[in-house]
Amino acid sequence: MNLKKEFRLKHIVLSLLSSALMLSILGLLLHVKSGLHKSVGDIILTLNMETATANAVTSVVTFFRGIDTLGEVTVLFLATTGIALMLSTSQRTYEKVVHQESFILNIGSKLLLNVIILFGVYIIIHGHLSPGGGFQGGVVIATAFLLLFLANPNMHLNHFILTLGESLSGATFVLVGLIGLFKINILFGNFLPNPVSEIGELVSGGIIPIIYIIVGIKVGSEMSVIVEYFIKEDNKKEVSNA
Amino acid sequence: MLDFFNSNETIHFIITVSTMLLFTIGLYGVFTQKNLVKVLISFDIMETALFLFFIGLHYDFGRVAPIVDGNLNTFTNMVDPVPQAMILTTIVIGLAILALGLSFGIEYFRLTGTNDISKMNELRD
Amino acid sequence: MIGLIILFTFASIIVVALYAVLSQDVTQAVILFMGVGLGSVVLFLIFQAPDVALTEAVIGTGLSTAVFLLGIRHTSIDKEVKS
Repeated sequence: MNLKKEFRLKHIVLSLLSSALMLSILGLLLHVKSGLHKSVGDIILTLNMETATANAVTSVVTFFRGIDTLGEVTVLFLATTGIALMLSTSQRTYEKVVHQESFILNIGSKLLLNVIILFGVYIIIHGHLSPGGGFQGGVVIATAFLLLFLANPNMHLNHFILTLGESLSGATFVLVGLIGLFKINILFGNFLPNPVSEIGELVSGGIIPIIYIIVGIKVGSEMSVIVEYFIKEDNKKEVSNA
Repeated sequence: MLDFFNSNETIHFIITVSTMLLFTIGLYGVFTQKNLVKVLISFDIMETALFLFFIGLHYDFGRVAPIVDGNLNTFTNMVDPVPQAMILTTIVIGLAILALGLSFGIEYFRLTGTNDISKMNELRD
Repeated sequence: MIGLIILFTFASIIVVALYAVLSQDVTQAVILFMGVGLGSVVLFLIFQAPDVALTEAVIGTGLSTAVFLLGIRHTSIDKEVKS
């Protein structure tokens, strides 16, 4: 057991007082008493029967609070751009390091890749019927690409397809919101037919599964690019300029 | 005795005190650690404590998850779905910001060769 | 009954987090932080939030640990190890 040996009293007291202050303010703002208040959540649950989705959290993320999802997609795009700018190699001279390849790891990882991607697509598509959705499925797809990189560090991803997928899905997301605005005067409104009798089927809920598929493609491609930039750092050996 | 542990006030009291302790541990790590990666780990512990606090305070004993399947048919007696939707997107954003911070650390290490935060004082005159 | 389960899970999470912050080895701290993530997945399931539990399970155990370990590898002096 190797722990630190010295503790300063002022650090411990300062941390305790700051966390007590912050959590008491948060508790006051949340204003949660058991069963005394009627909050927005109760009203949303009674309205949820008209949107014909079995998962209430999905309809809150894509339909009732669609603008928050737009902001989140923007923040992800900015973070990925920042990482790509910091770790790019256009300004220094590097010589490439080639690693040894192994035959068994290559074949085995390619067999497993198909199963993991199928699982991720299943989670994305069934987002409105069971726990799941675009965010979870996108990260599962990025984990499949991480497996591929761990087995073979010399691999290259096709940057053209990844860039195309990410930018097209971002533009389609905004376009779908604007179509809803022009047709029925609600931003991110539900303009496809969604009868209540089809709750629980795969094709139900109108625009909600389509929005989640678009978000899933975007999150999956962005996380794959982040993983690739972190692993490609290993292939550089700095040339000492004499 | 078991009735005492099933009441709403006891559960909310346990959740508040425990997440406060977890937040304190994370904040202590941010104050005193010298390695850059350990500062980021402590920051992530603070975020996890806040997520547990948000979701935990909206839980009452006897309510179910907000999903309708073959047995349930109406949306009654369910937990509030709005905090869950907000925390869902926040977890994914936390991962992206962590990767951004680590990329800054990698680039700084490549330029100067140190990852000790007490030696990063180029702006001091 | 549920209150006892919540109490024990919170106690184990706090002990693991304390060990993670105070340890000297950085790799050990990252693996212990993955334990905090696993405990929080159990807690999210007890609080009847399956979507949040699924997200935290995939991110906290898969990608977050991988990104941390790659960051540690590139910020420590190991110029002799590369073969």
